[in-house]
Amino acid sequence: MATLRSTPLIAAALAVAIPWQVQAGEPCVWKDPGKPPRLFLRDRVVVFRSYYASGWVACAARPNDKVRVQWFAGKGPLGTPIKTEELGLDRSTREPSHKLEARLFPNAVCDGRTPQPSAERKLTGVPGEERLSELVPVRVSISAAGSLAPLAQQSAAIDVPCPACGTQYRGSLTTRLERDGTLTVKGELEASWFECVKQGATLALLAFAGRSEADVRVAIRPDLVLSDLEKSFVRIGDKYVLHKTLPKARLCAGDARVWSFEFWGRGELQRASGGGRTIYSLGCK
Amino acid sequence: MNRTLQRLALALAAVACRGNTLSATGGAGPRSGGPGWIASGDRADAHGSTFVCQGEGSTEEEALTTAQGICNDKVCRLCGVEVESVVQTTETLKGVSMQRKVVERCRQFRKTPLAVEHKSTDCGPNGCSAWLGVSFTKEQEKAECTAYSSEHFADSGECERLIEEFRRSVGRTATSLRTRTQLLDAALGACAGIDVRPTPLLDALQEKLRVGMTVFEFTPELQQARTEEPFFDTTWYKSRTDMMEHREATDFYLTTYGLLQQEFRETKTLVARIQLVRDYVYNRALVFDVIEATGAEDLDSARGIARLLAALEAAPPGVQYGTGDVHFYCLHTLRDLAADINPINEFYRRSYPPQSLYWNHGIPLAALMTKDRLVDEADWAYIFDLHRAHPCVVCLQQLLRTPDHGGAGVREARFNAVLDLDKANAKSVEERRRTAAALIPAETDFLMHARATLPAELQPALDWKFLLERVEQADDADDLDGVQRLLPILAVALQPAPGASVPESYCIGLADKLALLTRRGVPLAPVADAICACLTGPLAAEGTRILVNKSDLYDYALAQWLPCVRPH
Repeated sequence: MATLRSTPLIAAALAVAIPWQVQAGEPCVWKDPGKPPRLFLRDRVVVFRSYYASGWVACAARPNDKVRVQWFAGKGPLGTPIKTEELGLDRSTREPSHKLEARLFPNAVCDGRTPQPSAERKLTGVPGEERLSELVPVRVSISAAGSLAPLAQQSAAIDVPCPACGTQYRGSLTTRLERDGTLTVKGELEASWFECVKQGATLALLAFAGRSEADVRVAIRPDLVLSDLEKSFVRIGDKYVLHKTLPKARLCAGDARVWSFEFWGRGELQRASGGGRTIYSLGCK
Repeated sequence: MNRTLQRLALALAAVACRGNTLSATGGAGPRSGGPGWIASGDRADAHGSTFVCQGEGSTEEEALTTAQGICNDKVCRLCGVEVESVVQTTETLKGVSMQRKVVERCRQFRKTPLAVEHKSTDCGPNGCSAWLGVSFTKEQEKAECTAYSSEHFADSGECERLIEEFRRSVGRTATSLRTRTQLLDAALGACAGIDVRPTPLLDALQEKLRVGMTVFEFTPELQQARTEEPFFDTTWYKSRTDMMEHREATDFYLTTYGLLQQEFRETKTLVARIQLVRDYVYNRALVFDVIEATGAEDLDSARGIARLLAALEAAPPGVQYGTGDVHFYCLHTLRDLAADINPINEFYRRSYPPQSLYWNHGIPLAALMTKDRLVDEADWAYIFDLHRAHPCVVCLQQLLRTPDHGGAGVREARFNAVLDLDKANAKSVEERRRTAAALIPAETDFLMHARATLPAELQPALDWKFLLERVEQADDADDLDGVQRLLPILAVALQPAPGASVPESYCIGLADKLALLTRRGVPLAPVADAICACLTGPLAAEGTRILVNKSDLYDYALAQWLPCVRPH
């Protein structure tokens, strides 16, 4: 251990040594790899890519050198760390540049997460499979020291969609043909789930009339549409209830003998019906 | 040894009495009492020896030749040179018969003409007999026998030592093979005079030659043992046969070559057999120079490349001893080097006419020629000529992938030249489309150029599958601009051909494609009509919420509230 009195001597020795050290490290000049880093989503998987020039890494990195990749999720300057891994560096000179690539799967972000009321939400997914998602900001940080320091960086945030209202619908949406020929449209949905999924959701009942079951099974152009059903739910206790009727006279107004019904809409409210089409033969005279 | 000599002497005596093996096996030969001077027989005195030799044959000349052989053998015997005697077996319908046969090596070896004092011949209906009276003076005996007993001829020790050393040589390297070559070069000289030595010695030396080869070869026994190993690595090999086919280079290039073994067995003299083995190990030394230069630690340097080039130039081209041409062994290794490999490329262009190569060599060569990221005229001409002789689209693909062809528009012109060639040679327009699609390099700019210039009959090559692949390539390459330019084209490519009815196969896969476009944020307007065409056409009779393909497509139609799903 150097004493205080020896410190000037050590400093002088270092001052002599530093120019040599600089010379030794001189060839490892960071070179622009030609491509900027990229953070993006592919099928809900977060992918981070960052490039480095092969000429630089061959000089700067020793065999088996690694960098530390740390993922963060949530609000705040950085968020909460959710995953850490180490990535090796490719020191070959086969290509002009190499890439660091790290992936974060949605379960690492979404599993066990408590929905945040203040989080931004939007509908995601393809028609028929849409759901309300909470957008969770995810960042990645690369730690590298010494000669590899130019690789150190912190990404901007990317929004990862996580289910905002759970993955299961809670309640039911049905149609029923009463004895008197009246069609009853009923819905009973758990209040918390309904209140969650109603954002951006629509619900309609599509009705198809025909002369046979085959007609209404294959039909694509509805004969009757009951729209805006999402606005007809009424809260009763801890449930939201829908109750509508279609009188037999209306269903038998034309020459239809068979009707089929299906629920459709944007968002995930429609999921409560379980999908499919229900077919009824009416006793119209 | 003494017993052997006695047997040989008996054999010689028998030959001397019967004439030669031809007459001995030729059935009823001429029978004659002979001239009177033969009665004195062989004799020796202070002045030298006199031999009386009788030969028989179908002609007078043949009988005389045989008699000369007998006399030569007697001279050799007098000098202490043994005459080789071999047992010849003949398989007959009644069993196996054996005959002792004298191989008249001594006569072949002797150069000094016999001093003939008496010569008589007698021919009859059954053939000819010849008698020779030959003198061999003490002076002649001294001169000739001394020559035979000189170190070079009489002493087989040096020959045996060299072959023994060969037999004990170890190693499977160029150096060890070169050492073997040197030993056999020396043996060729040392063994030249002992082909008249006793058969057991020759047999032993030949066996040592053969065993010396098994020391370094991947013999059939080793191959069998390898396939019977209880463990083989299923990570790398699909089967044991696959493992054998992909054996390491050392085993591959030292695999016992059956035809060489056969030639060895059929070669009549020791020296000729040594020559066969010598040529083999010399060839393998050159082959291993290439292999070792390819694996050298400093290969990726000017020195390493120079060493490899020298080895390539020294190695004989083509297939030898049943193994592949070693010149193509290094191709895949060179691909990964940073050093300048243009001298190597030049070697191939110089040594192998492009017409002589096929795709299996063309593909790695094309990769080497684009390693400097420039396709110059020499590179292009060579690979294009190869393709012209033996079609190799992948070879050209490698070249066209490289952006720099030495000038503006050169790459496009070369692309068009390939399409022109293909137009003349292709069997169908589908084949031409496949070629065109395969040749369009990954850059979006080139694709846009091709899209604008491809003849109408080739435009269908740029279909959904092709464009999707290009989108994914651009995405993988983080070419975001390219992705954005390609996606609208991809949506257009999803439209069915105008005028034609929509095929069911198109409709069945449509929803998955729409999902892909939706996930990438591409507007679906260009395919709205196609969605309705499917729902009202090929899928109309399917249960809307029963067939998943129709159900998914129906969801897209509803989401866009397309005319075909709006209420009556």
